[in-house]
Amino acid sequence: MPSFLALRSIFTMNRRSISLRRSHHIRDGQTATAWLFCAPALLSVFLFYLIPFCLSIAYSFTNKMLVPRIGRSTEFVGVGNYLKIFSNDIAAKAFVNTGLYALMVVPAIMVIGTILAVFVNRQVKGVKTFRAIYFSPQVVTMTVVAVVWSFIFSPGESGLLNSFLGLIGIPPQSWLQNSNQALFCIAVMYIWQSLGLQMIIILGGLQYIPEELYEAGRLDGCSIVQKFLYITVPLLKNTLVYVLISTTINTLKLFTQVYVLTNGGPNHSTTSVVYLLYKAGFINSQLGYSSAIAVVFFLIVLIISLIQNYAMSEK
Amino acid sequence: MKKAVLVLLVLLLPLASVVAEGKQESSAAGDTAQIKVWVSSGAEDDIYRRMFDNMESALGIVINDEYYPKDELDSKLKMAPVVGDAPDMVVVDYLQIPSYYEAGLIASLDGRIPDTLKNDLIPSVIAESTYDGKFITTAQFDAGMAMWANKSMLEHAGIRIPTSYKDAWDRKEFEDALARLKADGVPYPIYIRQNKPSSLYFMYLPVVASFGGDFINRDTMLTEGTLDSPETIAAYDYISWLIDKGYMNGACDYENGFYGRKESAIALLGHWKYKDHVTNLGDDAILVPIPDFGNGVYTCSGSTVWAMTTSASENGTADVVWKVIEKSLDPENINLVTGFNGAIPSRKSVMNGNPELQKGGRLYLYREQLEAGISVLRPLTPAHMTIYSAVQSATADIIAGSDAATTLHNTAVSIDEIIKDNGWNK
Amino acid sequence: MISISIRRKHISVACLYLAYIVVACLFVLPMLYMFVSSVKTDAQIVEDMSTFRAFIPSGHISAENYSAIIGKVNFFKFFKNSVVVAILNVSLVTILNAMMGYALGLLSFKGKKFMISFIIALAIIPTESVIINRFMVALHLHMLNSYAGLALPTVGYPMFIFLYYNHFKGMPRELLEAAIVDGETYNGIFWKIMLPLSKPVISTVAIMGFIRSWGDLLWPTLVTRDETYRTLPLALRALSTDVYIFWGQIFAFASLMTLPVLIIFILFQKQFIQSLAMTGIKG
Repeated sequence: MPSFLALRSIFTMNRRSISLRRSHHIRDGQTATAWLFCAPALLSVFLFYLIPFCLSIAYSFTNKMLVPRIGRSTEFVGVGNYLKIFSNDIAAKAFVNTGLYALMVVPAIMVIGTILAVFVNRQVKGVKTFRAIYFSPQVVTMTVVAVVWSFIFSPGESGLLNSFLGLIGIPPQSWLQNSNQALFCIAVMYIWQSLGLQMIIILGGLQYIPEELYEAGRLDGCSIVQKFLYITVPLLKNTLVYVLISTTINTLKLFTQVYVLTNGGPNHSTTSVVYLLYKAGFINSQLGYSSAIAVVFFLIVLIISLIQNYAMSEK
Repeated sequence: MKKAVLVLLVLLLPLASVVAEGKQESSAAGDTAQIKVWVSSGAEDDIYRRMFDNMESALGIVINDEYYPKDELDSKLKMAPVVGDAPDMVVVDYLQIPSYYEAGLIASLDGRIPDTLKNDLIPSVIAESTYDGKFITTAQFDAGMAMWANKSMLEHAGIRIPTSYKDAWDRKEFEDALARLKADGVPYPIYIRQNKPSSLYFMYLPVVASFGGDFINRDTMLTEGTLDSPETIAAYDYISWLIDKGYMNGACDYENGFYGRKESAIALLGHWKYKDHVTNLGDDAILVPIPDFGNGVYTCSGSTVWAMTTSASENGTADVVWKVIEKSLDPENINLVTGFNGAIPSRKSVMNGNPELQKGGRLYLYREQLEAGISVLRPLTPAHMTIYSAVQSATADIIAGSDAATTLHNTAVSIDEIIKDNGWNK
Repeated sequence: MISISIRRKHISVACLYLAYIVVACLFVLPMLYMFVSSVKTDAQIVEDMSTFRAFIPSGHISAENYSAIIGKVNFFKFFKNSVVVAILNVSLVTILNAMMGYALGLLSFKGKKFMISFIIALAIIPTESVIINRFMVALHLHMLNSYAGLALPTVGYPMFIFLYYNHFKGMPRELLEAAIVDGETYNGIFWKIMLPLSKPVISTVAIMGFIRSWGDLLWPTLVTRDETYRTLPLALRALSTDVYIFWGQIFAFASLMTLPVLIIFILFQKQFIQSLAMTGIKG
């Protein structure tokens, strides 16, 4: 994949890359060791990721049920399941919702995460404690996060958030019961939990930007914003690319909040692609259809990741 | 660090396997008949444990009872045919049974149950135990469903209190009562557990029936034409109407509107709230029948059932399992369970044991309704999870303000597509 | 008399700390809410919900919820199972994925480029879509209902392999080459040189892996076939049945589940926060 080669060359930009002419003997040693080292993880991944997914691809062309009925065998249906995805309203909505959710979450995490990272990138006493606090939401599983936030987003006047909003004169919102707000609410939960992690990763990148560059900027009369945009961001590119790709993939896999809190509602406004395939497989017993959704999802995300790679490395 | 990790590994792997093997051996020992039971975990767990212990001594067998939350039990049972470790007996909600039956997991009880016993069972239990023309489960109890009401609030607002399902309020009287309660200062006269729309699949069915609707056509086993019939739509429109009139809190997310906050005078809830209501409201907690919206007065029934699996015959334990199921219907065992969970005993002869179920007793309405056979059942179909999940979403949407007609119609269309796809409407 | 510039500096520092604290509240309050609610009765939780008292222990405080769940749910057994599975899983996850990351990042061999893309593609697959098939694989390998079945399938984890790959790729090649010249094998280089230098990433993967294993619900639901090996998240599900929702107990259980992770995090946070910072530049 050419994009990854390009990416790699950026990473090693600051290092001298010495290419040694390796003797045949040493390369054999590398190959053998390399395969040996890959073997355990590869075996695990092969057995528990690749084979199950290949089975999924196979099932996607059938009408396999989760709980098979006596007297009804599984039959080949060709691309029937795939056509169903493209003709089904709810499936379309699921893809749209997931896309909207990603569009809310990914920029928010990248922008706020970077700002936060800059915010804690100082050598004041106790800043390490604050960094730890900002990271702490990660140690709580999303299931618990969702439950706690559902209390915060309680509808009616006595809900936590509503009562605080009431203090500044905003009427109570129905949040998770409102089809225009529910997706936003679960986005907030995820952003809240992830910010700390991404902040720390970006912080790492920040700490390698030489102080002299900021000095030079100050001498030139740059404002804070200009320094941020013209010094910080470009030199953070590597880090930001990693955050972008991993956040995008994780975000597109939205499931837990929907499963725990909304069951896809209200009005299918929070149905995500993964929730859709879960419902199809586990509740409606349509394993074939569920597998087809998974395959389509996989292909779309793969393309998105490729595009992201390509775009970022072109710049 | 590497060394510590390796040491840990070396220690843990053999330890783990030893523990695993130890457990297996202990359950393989013994000559006495052994059966494995999977129970859907709930509040009654400890009572069941005690009951099984008693049965073990009485019958001279070993019962390995395991308790799992509903979702987990469902997953495990669904995979049981493939894994080959299905239990001999299951104690689950009756709605799960058709799905397992279609997968070949459930054995018939026809021919095992004596007529005397069968005739003693209330009609609703027989109805929920019959599938595919066969009698495949039994139950120790059935649900009681009507409306709880706050006597003082009703009396204060000058509302007639029905004494039987036969003189239930009709629609006009009911709406009149709501208006009076509201005028009397009751903030939200009625509470239907709208904070958990999934429970309305049970609790709202009798109202739907009273409007003349249903969830599914019981002959074709399809929902279109029934779930979105004018009658059913009217029943769900009624929810929107109740919210719009301020009789019900549309933004409710709490459980205690009736017994805790006392902001409601009527609550559409079942027998399981007995303890909470009586503890908090004392003698004020009474039962009134669900109103007659034009098509009659109904109640909803449905309970935990006991079923023998086909594995039992394979394991040679079928007779033992039947003995256990039969014993579960002994008066002492029925009373043990219903004494705890406040449900209605499944046997007419046993009902006389509970004073509150006698004429004049607080809970007599439950008994009267079930004995009269005016209960409706949620549909017995392998499509249960699909229908339940879809109706739950639809109900939540309607409570949040969606139009009942469009919502129900779209729901019915999507449900039927899945039913036909899976061949569940044979 | 304090000069104006020093005073201005004091004020700006004070403002900075104030800002830090305000932001900290946003991150800490939800968890605080969880811990505080766990010692209240259900009624109290509902009552305090709409005011600032939601974050303060108020009313009748007791450990009732805790004793209820520990009694009801045979808590220590689930806890033990979760711990065993987590240790087994994490110890393997940290090492085995590192080995592959090293091979992909530093060694050269035919098929490497394909392997890298392959791993990233696998990272996209959502668990829910393959979990039933994964179960079938585990069934045929006779891994059901065992610690092995619970811990091993997620040992090879594409995201972590990717993380390690980025990390090792960024390590200076000079180190590798110098060691070769010294006569060290590629195997030896990993254990003696690369791994010790990678402590930061390893602790990252360790904590993230632990959190993942600790909170996993779907897989244990399927893999356990009796009550012996059930883990904590399964027990949590028992607390919200159709009929009753025991909020106080749910919060207590959630607190108990979060506490071990929180403790480990606090103990190792200095190294960990610093370590995560290092992964960023390499990746």
